[in-house]
Amino acid sequence: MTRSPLHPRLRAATGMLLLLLLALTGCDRTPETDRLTFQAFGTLVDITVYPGGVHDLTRIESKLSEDLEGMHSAWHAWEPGSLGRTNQLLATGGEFSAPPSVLPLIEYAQELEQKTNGLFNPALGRLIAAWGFHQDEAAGPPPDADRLDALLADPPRMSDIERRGVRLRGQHPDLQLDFGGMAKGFAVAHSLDLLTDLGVEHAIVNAGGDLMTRGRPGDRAWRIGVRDPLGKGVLASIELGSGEALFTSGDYERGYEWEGERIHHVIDPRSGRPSRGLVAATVLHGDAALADAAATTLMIAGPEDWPLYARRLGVARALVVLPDGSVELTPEMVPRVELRGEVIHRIRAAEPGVGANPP
Amino acid sequence: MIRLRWGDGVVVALATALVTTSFALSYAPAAGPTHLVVTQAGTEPRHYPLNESRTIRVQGVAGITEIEIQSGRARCLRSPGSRGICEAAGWLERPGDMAVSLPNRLTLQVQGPQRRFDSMHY
Repeated sequence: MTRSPLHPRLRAATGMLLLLLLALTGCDRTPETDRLTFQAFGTLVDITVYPGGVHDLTRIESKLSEDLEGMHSAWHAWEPGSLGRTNQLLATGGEFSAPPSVLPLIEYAQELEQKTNGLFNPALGRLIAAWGFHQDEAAGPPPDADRLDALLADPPRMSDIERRGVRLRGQHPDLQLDFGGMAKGFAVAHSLDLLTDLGVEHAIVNAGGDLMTRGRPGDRAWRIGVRDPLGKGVLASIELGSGEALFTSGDYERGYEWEGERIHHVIDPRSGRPSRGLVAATVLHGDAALADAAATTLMIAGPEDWPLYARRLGVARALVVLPDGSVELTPEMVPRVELRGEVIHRIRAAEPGVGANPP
Repeated sequence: MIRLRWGDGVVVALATALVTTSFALSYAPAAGPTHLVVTQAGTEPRHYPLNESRTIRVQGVAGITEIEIQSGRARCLRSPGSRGICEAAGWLERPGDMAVSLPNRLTLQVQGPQRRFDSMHY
């Protein structure tokens, strides 16, 4: 009888250890993802897809880029396109058929304007243009007091668009649509749909820092770093599941200096001037267009009223950054965000029944 | 009664060492960044190793962004924009650290063998 060099128990133990070793070498610490970066929709677009190495990245970039450029052209606030034609027709006061690419934005904007009592108002394109933002590189001079008074005397609202099915009619001569506060949300959501059509089930579409997820990278959540709007590295990290959008509106995005004052692109319809009191407002929501519009609205609402407007819009998860670098966030946002250690933060909840001053 | 031979002990010790090493390699904290990725609107992302000290000048739509690489880290030294947001990001020294120059439409991000974040929100 041949004697085994190892006792059976030891042989079993060694085998188990080797199996464990094989299992460990086979498992991947983080699922591999592929990344694409390109210019479209007037900004830097960053696509993350999972798993890596299986998708046709050239085709994805080509299709997404073409689609995003189409939307950018259709919704551009001052260059010729579907929105430009719509603005021309609205100004005539006559009835016309809305371009299919623009109608969903008009419908949604009317709903949001109503919910925010006019604080979110994409009908104020003429006011935005007066501040020098209807050009590639924003520039002054800002409107003087007389010009502002004239623009604010009887400002147009989204409700000045009469809508019967696809037929529209403008009811205000100064009405000029500018969807800068929500178009990117529509575009990001649409890009995710296109990725699904292209066979990508797990992805992040990030357009100029605003993003939305679909699917998951394996059995973990997507890890998102939130850059500090005051430039001090990473402010926070957030883990996102499938179908979550993270949008921020900030005073650092577009703007210029004029006589020592920072003129940024988020214009408050109440004062007709750039919003004050908040550096940035971030919204986490399942609807990218709403997240985009809500971030703009909270930025305009300011440090006192932002929780109230978040509630009005049905946004449970939001945070804002104040000029001193401190952060305020909703109670529902607290478990979702991990703030950098030294960041001072406060929890703010809207008190039911408290009303804000209408614009 | 089990009698172990010296060879049995060697096999078990080797197997244990292998498992321990592979566990450590698989789950050790991520190493530092190895390279800087500069993304700019309209151009392919550019990669620069962090083990070579150098200064990089990137021409953007609003002017020149000057980037310094030194001792395994990188920073935005000078960039257009009156608020100094790009410069305020300071040294980028952990994988995923990022600086952004919105006037020049470019991002600087240091990356390592393992990505800290799947995407950056800004």
